[in-house]
Amino acid sequence: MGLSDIASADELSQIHRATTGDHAAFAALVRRYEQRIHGYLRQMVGDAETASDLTQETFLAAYRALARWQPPPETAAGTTTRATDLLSPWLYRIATNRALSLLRSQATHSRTPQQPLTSGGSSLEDTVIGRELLRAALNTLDDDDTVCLVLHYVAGERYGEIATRLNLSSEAVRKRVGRALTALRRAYAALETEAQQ
Amino acid sequence: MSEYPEIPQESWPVAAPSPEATNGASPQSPHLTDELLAGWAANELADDERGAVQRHLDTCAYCQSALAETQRIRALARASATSAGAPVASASLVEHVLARLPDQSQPARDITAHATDSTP
Repeated sequence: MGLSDIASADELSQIHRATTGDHAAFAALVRRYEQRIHGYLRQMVGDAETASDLTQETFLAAYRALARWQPPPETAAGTTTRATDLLSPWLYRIATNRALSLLRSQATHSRTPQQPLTSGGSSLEDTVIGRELLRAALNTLDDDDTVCLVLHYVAGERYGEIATRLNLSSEAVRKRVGRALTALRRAYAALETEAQQ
Repeated sequence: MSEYPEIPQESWPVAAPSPEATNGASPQSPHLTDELLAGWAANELADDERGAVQRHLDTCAYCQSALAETQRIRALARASATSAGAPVASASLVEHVLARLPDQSQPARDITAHATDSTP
């Protein structure tokens, strides 16, 4: 049995114990994933405090639904499945779901850019436009495409890293990143139209 | 002989860019898909694919423009990223989560359920 198998068995044991109400086991799972989930949510919503709240909500939702979680199928041909971090793809989906709900519930503060988007404004201006762009694009994607958009375009992760994190094949990540670009280009075109009016 | 013999027909953009994004260009037009543009901009294409895309870009003003837009979008998305900052206070977060869990005598619900889509 390799190290990753041992780690996987250890995590599986923690998951089973957590489903029987073992809070210590669940705490171990929270510690295992909290930094990654918090970092992801921070990129998605833009501030640390909101990300902390959403991280807590993500783990609480995960606890409530943990008994329904099922281990991923064994590594399929052509995938880069990692034997450890069994809960990783599932937790990202829950976090994405929570963050999208929040973003969609927030009032859309329409902002008219003061200059053409193509010119490249100040870093602050780019940050504001970038967040608007993300908000608009994220509203049109499903959860898995959303995760790929945030991890690639915002966090700057490579396709292979995302594939490992989400238990997806590199080909699947490539298609999702392509769809994310389509959504971003649509959002960009809409913002550009707005800026010209 | 095809104008762009290096790229297999199935690689051409059946679904991208959208009519909205292309100012009405036909979806059948021989331009690079967003998947290829994204892969090119991220340096994620295989060598043979990369060479074919480069040759196309050399002769297609439309795709050069689409690539410039893609690069601008990448820069904007990166600009939206928050700085790494301090890591989340682990002890505090775990305590907050544990404090909100149901009583320890009440295990997580639906222990025997088996949902196909178990994302809450």
